[in-house]
Amino acid sequence: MLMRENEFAAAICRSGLQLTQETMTELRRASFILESLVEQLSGAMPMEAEPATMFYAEQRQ
Amino acid sequence: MTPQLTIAEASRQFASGKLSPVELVKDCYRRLRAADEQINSFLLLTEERALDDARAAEKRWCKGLARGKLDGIPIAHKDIYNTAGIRTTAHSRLLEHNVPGEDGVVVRKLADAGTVLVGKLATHEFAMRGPSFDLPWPPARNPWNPAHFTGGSSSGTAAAVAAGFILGGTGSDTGGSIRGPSAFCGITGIKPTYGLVSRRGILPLSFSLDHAGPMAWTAEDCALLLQAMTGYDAGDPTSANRPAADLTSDIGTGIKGLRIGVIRHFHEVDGVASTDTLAGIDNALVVLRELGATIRDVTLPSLGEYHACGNVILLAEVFATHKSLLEARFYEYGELFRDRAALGALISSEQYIHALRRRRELCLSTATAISDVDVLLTAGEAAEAPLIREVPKWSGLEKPRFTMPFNVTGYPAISVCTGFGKGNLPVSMQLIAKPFCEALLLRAAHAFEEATPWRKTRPALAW
Repeated sequence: MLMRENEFAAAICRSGLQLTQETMTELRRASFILESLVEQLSGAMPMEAEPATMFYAEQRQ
Repeated sequence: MTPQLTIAEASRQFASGKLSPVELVKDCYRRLRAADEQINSFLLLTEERALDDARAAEKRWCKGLARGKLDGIPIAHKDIYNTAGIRTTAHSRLLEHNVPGEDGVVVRKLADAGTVLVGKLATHEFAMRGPSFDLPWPPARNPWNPAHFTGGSSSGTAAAVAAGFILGGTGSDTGGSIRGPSAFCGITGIKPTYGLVSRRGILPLSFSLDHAGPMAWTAEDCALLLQAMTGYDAGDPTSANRPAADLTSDIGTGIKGLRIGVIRHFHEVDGVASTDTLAGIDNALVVLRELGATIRDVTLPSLGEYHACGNVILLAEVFATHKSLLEARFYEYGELFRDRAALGALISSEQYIHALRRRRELCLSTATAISDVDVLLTAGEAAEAPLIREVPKWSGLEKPRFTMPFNVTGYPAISVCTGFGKGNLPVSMQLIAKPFCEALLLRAAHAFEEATPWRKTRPALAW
């Protein structure tokens, strides 16, 4: 699902970044690339699936 | 002037008295002065200190007290490695006058091994995305043809090693920043297992994807450097607490019986490589088979899945790392870094956690795929280096790279030159091993290099 204009503006506002209109336009364009990456990860996942933070601990042993 | 030597060759000549460390480092500076104006690989030279260090190494060799094969070897550090009393900029205006008080752990280890520091090397700003033309220093250029890109972010290291300005150097790799420039510049670069090399004293980009490693002309030289760089560091929470492996003894023992799994769908379907890159891989498979390896295809999740997972994690972590500086000094960063880092602000916590959960699944799938083989093989970069002025702003984000899967999983991976393409620029392959199996990886890469002519050709720069 593509990020709506108001969601984009809210995310930039929340970030604390002070951006020119030119940068905002560029980021809005690039946000579609980001969205396509996020979409590729959006498959269903069991609730109990854990993040990979422990992987390295396991690997070290 | 001495011919261009590998670390192993120079060390042998030091031992026999045929060459002195002082003579060697002076030749490095002569080459550098004659040709780095075209290449821009160095940001700073440390000649006075280098000569002092080379003289000290020379005395040790003369007295039979050399510290090992690296004693007296000229190297340089990517400019995100902190060097005590020596400017460390990350190639950024923000750190233009930054002088660290302490060496990073790897810098200290390599100095203790007797290496001679030639200077500090160009990088992409804070080790992410280039080439940039709006920073205080120009981007490094490819010694095989300066109109072409080096790849990055360890751009200066790859260029300086290929040009023969140094015999080896340090890089860092968050999505391919050691292996990519090694591929484009025709050298050898290894990204070790996550946790093998301490990152304390290296400016961070993305804490769960960053790796530190060596780059050199050959796999044997990478083994010598990596051996000195490894070791548990209690001061780095990600450092692996395990006994040090011997990375050099097996070099030269061949690869008879080695089981190689080719991830053919990566370079033929998911991210299609050029015909020259594919031909390089096909020829390499013939050579490896002749050396005694057995070869079969293996299937991993799609390259796009690793790419998506790795880049969501990377952007979120870069934004977290740089947030306060981005808030205060956004337009002091170069355009490429700041725009890409700002994208991280658009990633929600749920999306970041989802990527970390997906990462665990990809790690498990990778472990399954490699369980019945010793080494995986795919492309390093998709093609020869592009023209430096024609690198798209969002490249690396739009198209998947062959290197990112092994940052996502933390597996060790090495880039090896497989020949030259139609543009007379290097093409490459990538070999990957199980965690902490660097010795095997280096042995396989060395066997391939010894059996092929690609280590005998150097860029034709005018000295």
